[in-house]
Amino acid sequence: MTGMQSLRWPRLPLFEIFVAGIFLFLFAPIIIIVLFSFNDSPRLSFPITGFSIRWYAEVLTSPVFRTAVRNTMIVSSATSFIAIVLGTLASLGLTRHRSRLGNAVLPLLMLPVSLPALFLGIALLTYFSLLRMQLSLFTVTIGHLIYTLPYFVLVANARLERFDTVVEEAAQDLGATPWQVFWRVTLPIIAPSIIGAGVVVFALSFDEFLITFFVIGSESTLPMLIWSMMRRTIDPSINAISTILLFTSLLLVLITSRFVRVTEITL
Amino acid sequence: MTSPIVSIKNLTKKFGPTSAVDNFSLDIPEGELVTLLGPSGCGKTTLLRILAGFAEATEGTIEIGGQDMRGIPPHRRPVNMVFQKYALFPHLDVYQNISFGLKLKNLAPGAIDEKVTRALELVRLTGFEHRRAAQLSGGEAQRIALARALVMEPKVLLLDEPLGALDLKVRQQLEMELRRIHFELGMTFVYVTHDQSEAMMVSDRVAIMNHGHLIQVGTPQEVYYAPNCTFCASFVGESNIVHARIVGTQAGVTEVRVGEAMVHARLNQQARDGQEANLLIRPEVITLGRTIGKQENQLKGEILDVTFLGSAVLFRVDVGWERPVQVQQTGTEDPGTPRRGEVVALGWSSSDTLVLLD
Repeated sequence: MTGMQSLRWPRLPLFEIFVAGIFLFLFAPIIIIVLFSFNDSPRLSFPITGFSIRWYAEVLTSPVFRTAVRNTMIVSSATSFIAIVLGTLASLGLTRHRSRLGNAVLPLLMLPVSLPALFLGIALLTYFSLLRMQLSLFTVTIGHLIYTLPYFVLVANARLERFDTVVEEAAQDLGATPWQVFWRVTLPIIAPSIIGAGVVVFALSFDEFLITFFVIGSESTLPMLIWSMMRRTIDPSINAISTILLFTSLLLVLITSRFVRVTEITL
Repeated sequence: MTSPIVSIKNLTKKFGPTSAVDNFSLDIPEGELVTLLGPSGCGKTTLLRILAGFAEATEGTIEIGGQDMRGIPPHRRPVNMVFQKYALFPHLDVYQNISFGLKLKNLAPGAIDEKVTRALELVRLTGFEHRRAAQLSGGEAQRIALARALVMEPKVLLLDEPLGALDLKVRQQLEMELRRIHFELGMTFVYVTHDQSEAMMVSDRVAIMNHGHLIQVGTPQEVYYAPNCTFCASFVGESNIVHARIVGTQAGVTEVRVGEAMVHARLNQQARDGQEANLLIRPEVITLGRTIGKQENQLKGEILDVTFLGSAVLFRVDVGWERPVQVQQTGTEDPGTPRRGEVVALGWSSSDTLVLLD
């Protein structure tokens, strides 16, 4: 009878409301930052007084911001480029030659994922000063490489594990030298996955803060800039910078997902 | 006689202590379609990969067109291969797949165009130039893979279970196509399969392998009607194989004892009287009926079951031997067909009965 009873009442979508609540809680800060970045008033409180792009204008004309953007682009590009070259070679080696050495190398390669970034930052700083290396964007790039390479290899391995080397034999059989096989068959087939993994690395490096903080010296990157601005005052242009960062990351994710889909089709 | 296009001499391939191919020798004349037939793990694919250059022989030599192949890498061998799983380049379209090897040869674009067009005509897929590999069905993909290999005009075309991944209907269709293409081109084909009916269908000669050894080589008729061992007899076609003891030979007919029965048979090898042997009787050579005319070999037995096969009927008859005798009668099942439990007479001739020593 109780079953009949409950049928008569419209069921409240409790679960749906719960999920919506969680999402609202998660996304509210993001929405608020985006909203305030267009707020006319310098005060970070409701109500929003009017629409303005003055914070964006301020940010985009600021030399400090421009330097930070330039540095971030340099580090992220260099990191993803080197990660693509090293990571692809590592991934090819690890997925093709199932050896005891490979089995030992993989966990070592993955180690930085499980190490706290804080620890990595301190370790790198100590290491660089032992080597008497000047802290610069170069040392930041090294730090980012150590941190991002495992992610690259994880993503690339997932694809390369499924790579059927019989197409390479077919190419060889049709007269291609090992070098031609790599450039005409292997690389074009794995390129979308590699670029996808490269974008992941770019995104990770783009907003990396902890390791950067320890090994950057006197230079600045975007995350460093935001942090230093937050320390001084709460300047509304932070919201503009954050929003720019947000949409850059979103764009990267979009690009990546496109590449991933292409990979699935060409498989 | 002209010298063979492929000459394999005492070829051995060892993986650790085990030999995948063991002292294998075979000459293949130009234009022949020879099948390497055997159960999986018999070394046939290893042998094909050694021919293609993907694996190195431990001992022995291979000559193709009179040239020793030792140390020559796959991309410089005058052979091309068709793989079981097509191995088309997924990032290229059909035209680019077929022209892949020709471009590496630096042929003029006009010549490449012409060759690709002809190859597509040969495999009957004209108009497929700009399809992607992923848009092809299994049968189409394998035809393109075939075109891609044929366009290179190899001295020998190697086919590694080319129909293994295809559905029965497509497989049967492609068997005919392969036969036609082989006939039209007159090219030498070395064909690997574990499917005996496929081997019978496509081959000029069948080379039966087991445990890395070459067991028997001959035309499909030879390996079917005159297998040289029990393995070949059981591997090719349906067969009744029973344990027997040789009694003696008179006027070309050998008398053997199977259980209580005496059977007249044909013996192709040298044997002692009293020697243990196996007896091969193909199911379709036996006549079955309530009454049958006078036959060289006659037995009575009870029908255990009757199976309708479409164009034939298969009986299993208990004649008191170690296992029931299978009898295949062409024609359809009708009310007059003997039923399960009936006692019937079986008869067959001595020339259809082969004594196998081993």
